Amino acid sequence: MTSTVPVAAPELEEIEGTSLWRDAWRRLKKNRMAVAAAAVLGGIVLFCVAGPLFVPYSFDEQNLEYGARGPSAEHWFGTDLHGRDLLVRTMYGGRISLAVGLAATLVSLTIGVAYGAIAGYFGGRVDAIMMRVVDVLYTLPFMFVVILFLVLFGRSIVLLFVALGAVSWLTMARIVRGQVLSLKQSEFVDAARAAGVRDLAIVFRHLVPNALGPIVVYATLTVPRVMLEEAFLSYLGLGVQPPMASWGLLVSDGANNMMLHPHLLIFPGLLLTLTLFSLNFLGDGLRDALDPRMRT
Amino acid sequence: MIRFVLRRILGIFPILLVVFTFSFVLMRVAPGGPFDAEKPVPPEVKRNLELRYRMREPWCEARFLPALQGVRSPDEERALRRASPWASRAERVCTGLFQYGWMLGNYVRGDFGPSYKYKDRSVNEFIRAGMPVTLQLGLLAVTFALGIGLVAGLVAAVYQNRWPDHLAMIAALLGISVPNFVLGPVLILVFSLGLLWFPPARWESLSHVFLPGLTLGSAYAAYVARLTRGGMLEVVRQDFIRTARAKGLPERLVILRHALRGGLLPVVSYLGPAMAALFTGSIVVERIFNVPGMGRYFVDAAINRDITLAMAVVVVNAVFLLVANLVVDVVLGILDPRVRYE
Amino acid sequence: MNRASARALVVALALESLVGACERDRPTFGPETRRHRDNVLYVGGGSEPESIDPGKSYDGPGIDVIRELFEGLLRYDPKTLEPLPGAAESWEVSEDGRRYVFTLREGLVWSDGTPLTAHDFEWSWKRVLAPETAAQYAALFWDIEGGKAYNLGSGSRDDVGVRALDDRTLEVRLERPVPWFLSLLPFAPFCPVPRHAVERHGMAWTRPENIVSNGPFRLVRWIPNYEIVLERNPTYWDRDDVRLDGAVLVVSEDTHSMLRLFRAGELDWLGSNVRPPPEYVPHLRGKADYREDRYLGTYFYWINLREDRNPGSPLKDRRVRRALLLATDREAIVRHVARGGQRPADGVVPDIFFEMGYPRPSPVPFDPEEARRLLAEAGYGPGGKRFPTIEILYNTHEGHRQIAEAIQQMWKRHLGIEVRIENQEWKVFMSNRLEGHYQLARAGWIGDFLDPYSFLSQFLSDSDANEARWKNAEFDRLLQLALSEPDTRRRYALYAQAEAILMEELPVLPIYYYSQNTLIGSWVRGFHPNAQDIHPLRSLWLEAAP
Repeated sequence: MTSTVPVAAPELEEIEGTSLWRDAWRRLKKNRMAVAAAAVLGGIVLFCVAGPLFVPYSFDEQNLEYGARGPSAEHWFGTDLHGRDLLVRTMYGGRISLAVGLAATLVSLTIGVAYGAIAGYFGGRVDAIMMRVVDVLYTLPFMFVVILFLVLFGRSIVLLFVALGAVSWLTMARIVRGQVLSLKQSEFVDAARAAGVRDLAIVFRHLVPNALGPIVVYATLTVPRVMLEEAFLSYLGLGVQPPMASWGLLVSDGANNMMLHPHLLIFPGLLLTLTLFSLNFLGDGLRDALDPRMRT
Repeated sequence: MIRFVLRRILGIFPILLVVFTFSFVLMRVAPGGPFDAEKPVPPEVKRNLELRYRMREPWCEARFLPALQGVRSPDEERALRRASPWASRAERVCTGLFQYGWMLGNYVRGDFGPSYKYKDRSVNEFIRAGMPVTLQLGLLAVTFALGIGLVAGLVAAVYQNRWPDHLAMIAALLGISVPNFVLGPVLILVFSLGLLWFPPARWESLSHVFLPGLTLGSAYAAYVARLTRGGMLEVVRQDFIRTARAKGLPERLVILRHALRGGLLPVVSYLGPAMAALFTGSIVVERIFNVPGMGRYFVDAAINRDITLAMAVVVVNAVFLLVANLVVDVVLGILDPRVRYE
Repeated sequence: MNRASARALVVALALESLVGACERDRPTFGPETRRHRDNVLYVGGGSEPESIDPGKSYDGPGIDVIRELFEGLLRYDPKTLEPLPGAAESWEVSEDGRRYVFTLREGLVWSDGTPLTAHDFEWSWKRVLAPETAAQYAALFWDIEGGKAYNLGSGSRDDVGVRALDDRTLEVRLERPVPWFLSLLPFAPFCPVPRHAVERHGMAWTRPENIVSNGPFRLVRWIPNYEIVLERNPTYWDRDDVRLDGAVLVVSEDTHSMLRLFRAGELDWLGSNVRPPPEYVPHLRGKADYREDRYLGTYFYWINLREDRNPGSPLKDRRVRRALLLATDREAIVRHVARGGQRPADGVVPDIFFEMGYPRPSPVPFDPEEARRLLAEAGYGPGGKRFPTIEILYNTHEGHRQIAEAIQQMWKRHLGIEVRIENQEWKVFMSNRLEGHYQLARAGWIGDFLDPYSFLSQFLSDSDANEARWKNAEFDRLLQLALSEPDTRRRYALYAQAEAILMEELPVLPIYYYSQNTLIGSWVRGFHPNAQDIHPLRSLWLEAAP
């Protein structure tokens, strides 16, 4: 028996994995809303990344005398209070917001998955202690922690990624732990263990890939949440440093000036909402596709 | 079950101690003190202030940095500290420990201590004044969230994959996707400055509480709608519903009497953390609508380095969250026969 | 027309009037007539007062409340802010200007009916000086004999030169003549506090249920971060001259929400602690309820000259500092960024003093050409050294951000200098500024009293407020000389000489002189703009109020 198992385990995983993903892909393609959301998202990313190449303005060139004006043939989105082109600022802002969303999610993914998987796999006292830590961290208000984090370590964009990621890994850890807890009873884990595969290798090579479905789903839903949190930080004046801007900063400026210059809110606000919208739709679609049972 | 509840309540205290310690350390290591101001006070006066608020401890100074007591200017003190960094650090840690002990002693007596920024007031007063308001606002928001969310979720589930479903779910996603610092001003612009239906801010009468409640509740309404829909769809597939239908019960009764109970479980388990999140979620709403709650202190007190006030709101928030979770678990146990208390 | 489209029209009209039509149809930003019916003034109060204890308060909003609740020996003239008789009906000053004797009015009482005597003043002033009070304004009393020693813990309470000679006579002895001493007396820390209430209630004596005061108003309600409600004090000696029944101060740090409250008619006056956001000003100008006046303050950037910081920084070269100033288009900043009626600053002493006979400093032009020349002379620019990236530090605030961004652009465009602007949260910012961890840092200085000394003294070599750690013996000497000069004209001339040295050396880049702009309903009467934006409520009244 021992001789066949090492071969069998990966094979088993392989087969199950492929069919799972293939099935999911098929289901996802059938979900028109999700496909549309993905297309919109792709369009927005392209707009933000490649857009500035086609706009003859820089994001920080001011024209104080010109000031804030509504859309025109020269400035499609109009200009902001400093007379800067809002179109190009919205594109750059999008880059930052998307980058914050992705990077912070990646951070939270890394911490959350590693943490949850280890806790779930080793179980017992290790699990109890690790999860108690998570419980405690849950009770800390995230804004409070992020503010002091940014105050302590300075205000660079990288730190913004880390700070936002570092406060949003808790739920991810719980999900992964739950998955690993139920998966580790599976035969292929027993088999791998019997074959002498080291614990950490089992966790990261066998268990985590099998829990990938919920992880992907939750990560997709984390991106819009983190983007909203960044917007909130910007509203408090703690986000990115000028002359750079994120959608959050543009939107909070816009909300303040809505009475006089509605275009300052409308354009970045529309893009931000559309992006969050698509991300949520895509997340829902993925969830339906990967795990039809956990439809919520 | 009583043993379960008792054990959980006892378990709250060590968590609170950790939260207390963690927030104390965070507040103390953050640069900038509560008494740094644009018009600097003379160093001697600042010293008096720091002694009074336990930011300085004569015993620690005498023990680790005796030279400090003759120092009369901030530049001198800086130079001295730079000259002996280790002694300076030891003195700081020592002072911090004294302050920690002092505050912990206060907490044991149910006293959050004096506010570092608002010199006439104790932190207890801020909590006492702000908590009821935040609770009212929170309850209002939850009411909105449940009212709108449950109906939308039910409708969506009943008309699954038809247009009312799509409409409700798009509205829900919109609720999640619009930051409340945008929603608030937009609502004010339309409903109070435009239509003159509601006052634009303040917390006086029923008409004042409507817009802030709606603003705060909208995101939660969206979540509740999605959870209700999901929960209902899950339940509807189960056997006992099929049985009920097979028995020829009218669809309305099937949904309301049988499916709803099970379908609401996810909503109930969501409500615990959500209620607590309302505390911190109300920061923006309190600001925009001039609501005298305590949510604002999560940000303001941290920024002002009002150590005692900041720690108090963090600890109160933790208590609230832990209790809310406990209540949810108990309610879940009553609603769902599958749950067993360990 | 059906109901739905009628409603849509209402919304459209309402939005339209908000966005653009104000200038044409309505000469006001808020409502044309008052919404409230009572004889109570609704005012924006700014942020939550840190303290309304006259002995402990150190913040603008707190001091504004104290001015209504308490009255010192003297009070402010609402038009000129000259001191008028308050609790004291008369006073005498000795020949050498070091001894003051005040005579209190007869029959003064606290709001609870307890008699108010000179002993209350003696006790209150000594309380400010007591080290255990930890009063932040204690240094204002250091000119009183023995005051500094007692405050610092080396002297005794009995040696402080404040003494009640009898119930109605207070004697004050000063260490040195202070030309503006009388003008300090209406200020919060010099107000009396009720010993009996303080001793009974301790820290909680300022609570509405405990407080005892002697000013034109008394405190009815104080909800933190929400409102402070005042009503006319029936025991105030001049109660018949107080025309408002009371006032509600709406406490909020969110200027946009205050602006909306004013627009909806919930506020009669935006208050002196809340400024309309700059981007609204162009639309507010010309409205009947908007006003814009000069204010006793200067906005500038510190340049760090500390020897132990930023070694080798080009900013230590005076020519570079001059070049930066010349390349800053302060006119454009004032007109397009600050937008609130500020004036470009050519020095640190605000232009309000110019009318009072203070010599105008020589104007600093906007001259990028000359700036580049100076920079080249200092060895930077084409053919010279590369100018390192410099950093402007400012605290998180929309207005500061916009100015810093504009300056960043100007220096880049005109001098080719790369500027990083670093926005820090307030306490971190202050701590870095005080510790000297900065190259350029934004600052604003508001005068405490109507004398240029209030602006120049921060540049004294030994001043703690001298954040550049700029040292100039001649400057110190001129200021010292000015202090002992009783004649105003000649004192001003000495100040001006000192300021000229400052502008030569440039430890600061002056940007603009502050303005005070506000929204106030046309029905509020008795409002007089003045240098320090101090408006005692007792001199305001509401038109057509009952």
